[in-house]
Amino acid sequence: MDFFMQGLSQVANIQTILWMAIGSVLGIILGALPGLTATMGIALVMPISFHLPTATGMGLLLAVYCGAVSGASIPAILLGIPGNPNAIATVEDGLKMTKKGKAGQALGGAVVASFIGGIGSLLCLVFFSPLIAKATLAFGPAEKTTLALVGLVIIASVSGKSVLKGLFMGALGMALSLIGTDSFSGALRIPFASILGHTPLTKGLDLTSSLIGLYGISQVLLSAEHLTKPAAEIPDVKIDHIFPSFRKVCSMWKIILASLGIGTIIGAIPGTGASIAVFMAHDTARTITNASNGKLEEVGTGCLEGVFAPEVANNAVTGGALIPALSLGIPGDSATAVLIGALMVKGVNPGFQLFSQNMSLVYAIFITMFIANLFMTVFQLAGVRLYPKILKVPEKILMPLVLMLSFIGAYAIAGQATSVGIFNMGVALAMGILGYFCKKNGYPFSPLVLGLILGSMFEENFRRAVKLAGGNYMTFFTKPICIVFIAFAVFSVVFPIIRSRKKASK
Amino acid sequence: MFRNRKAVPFSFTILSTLYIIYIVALGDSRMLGDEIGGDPGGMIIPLILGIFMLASSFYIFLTDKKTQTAEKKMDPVDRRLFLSVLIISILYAALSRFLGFLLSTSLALYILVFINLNLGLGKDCIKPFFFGMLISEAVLLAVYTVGRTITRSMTIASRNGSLSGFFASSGAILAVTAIAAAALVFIAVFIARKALPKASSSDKVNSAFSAGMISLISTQALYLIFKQLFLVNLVSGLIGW
Repeated sequence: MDFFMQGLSQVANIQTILWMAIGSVLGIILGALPGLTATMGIALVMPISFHLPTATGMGLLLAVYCGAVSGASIPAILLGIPGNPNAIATVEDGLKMTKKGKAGQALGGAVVASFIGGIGSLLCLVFFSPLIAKATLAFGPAEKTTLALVGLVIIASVSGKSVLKGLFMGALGMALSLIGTDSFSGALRIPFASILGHTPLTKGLDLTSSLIGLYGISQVLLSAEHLTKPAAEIPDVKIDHIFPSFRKVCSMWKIILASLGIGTIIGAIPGTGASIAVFMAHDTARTITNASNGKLEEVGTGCLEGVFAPEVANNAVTGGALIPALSLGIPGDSATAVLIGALMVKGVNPGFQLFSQNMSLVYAIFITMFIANLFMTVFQLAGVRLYPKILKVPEKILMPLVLMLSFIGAYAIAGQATSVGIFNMGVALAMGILGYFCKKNGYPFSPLVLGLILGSMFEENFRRAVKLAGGNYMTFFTKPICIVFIAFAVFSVVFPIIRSRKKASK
Repeated sequence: MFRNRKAVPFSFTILSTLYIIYIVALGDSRMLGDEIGGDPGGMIIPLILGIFMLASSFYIFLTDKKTQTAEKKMDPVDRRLFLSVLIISILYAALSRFLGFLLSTSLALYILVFINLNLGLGKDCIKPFFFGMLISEAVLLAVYTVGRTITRSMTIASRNGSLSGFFASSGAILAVTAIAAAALVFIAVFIARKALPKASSSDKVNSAFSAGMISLISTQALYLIFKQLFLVNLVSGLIGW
């Protein structure tokens, strides 16, 4: 209870509430604008959170995260274009409802569903993450090494079409994270050390700048390629009857529970993300409505059931993805990878250490997550007639702003050090260009980001484990937990390969 | 033989080879106080990563072939826009120290928005482009100078004790500066709007006006947030006052 009160005191102040309100509105806007993702929003706001107290900064980031996931439903319902992949399954029924003149009900229903999903998964987060973190007490350096490996391999093998490309990106991320100074010997590990040894590169690549470049600048470069294409026309839709009736919501209890479970579980599996969860939830809802003997409207016909299922699921992913992120330091999706990065920039390492030494911050994160969901609901419902107008902001104006915000964000991390700031801008630009070419050629980002985050932790624990075993590399195959993790890693690489070979042979 | 191969896997193969050479050239480094032994050294993980990257990128290079459907050539206008964004980004990162935050940011924003709105920079755009740029930079400098004077005067007054209570706080100074800057921007936009139809109502002039307004407001907002709220040391460059 003491920790809870301490956590509450970190959050219960005007500064936190104000920044979270701003973050929530910003998140909804970012989510609503096609082309801007939740991850990108978090990466762009990270420099601001860096200058705030840890709990306030995390609150701001979580507000952007929840807002962006929920806001993506606005263009999905009104235009049939999801703001980001989280709302991809909302399109089918959402757009049909708009065409039937029920846009208000669809938009309102999506917000209510997002709130239910967010709060439901938050309860799972509060319950499960301390338990999982406690279980990691049994982890020594060897277990931590294999845990980092399994997290990276799972993300690498599921986040793209090609397992090998994912694994390559993971390795590249780790290689980039090892640039700088060897933490054990103090030796420089940078190319052209006589020249670059006097630059901020000696401290390694700045994580925040790298993330800003990967998610912000690369997206601007990609968007520049299709600015000539005409933008989608925004229809003038009458938005009324926003709130779905309580009876209607209650009648969908099976859909809500199923979607909540799917979203939370899929979110908690590293690398999977909301785009998988929403389709699974939508399909499950279809099965439930088909079996309801006419009590529920059939999914796919333009009904609230078809909007509720994916919207509960995508916001349930937010809490689910935070379970492994906070308890193990392994993010559930790319957005939580950036959130972990933000915590690490603040000197807070996720995992058991966080739960044992900084429990008040854990509670503060839980409370801010609740407030983020609350604000997301209030602000999205309050502005339900206003947000569609935001869709009229053309990409031609938006993208230059994103570019400048990316550069200034990377610079601002350095605070007073001008040279470091300029260097960070260079890092962001380089990573942006790398990200652009990777995206164009189907190389997934998430393994690269995770490699950047976990690389140095992996190496430190690997060396510690081998050293403790007296130089014996077989130590990883003598511990049961390590063997389980290695088996998981092997399975997650081999399974997709076998599956794709089978598909190809058919 | 390699005509239908992609450039990116090839680049990654070269990069991985260079990485391995660099790791080997760097040599091994042992843990401090490792007299008993057992430390695998600082070279092993980077070397394993390098070898894996080389093997995987080479395999991808051999197997990932260009397909006709995926090989859509970029439209010339799109390519021009893409290159503009890339070049301006590089120039911004390279010149912002010399030009300073205000000038480099507002210039980059103005150019990018103008180019995007006109889908390039044709001959008929040159005059409104430069005219709009000059006006927006002049207004920006005026707003900055007034804001800076207000901030400085209020800070000195609060230190002297001439200002007390709420008005001596940094929040109040920021709020007054922001209100003054917003008022000046509003007046500038109002005057420009009034003057605009008289001069011309062409698309080019309108996009110069939009670009100027966006660059002015955004640069000022970013300056107030990062410099005055978070006390980030934004480079002054050419604007030394």
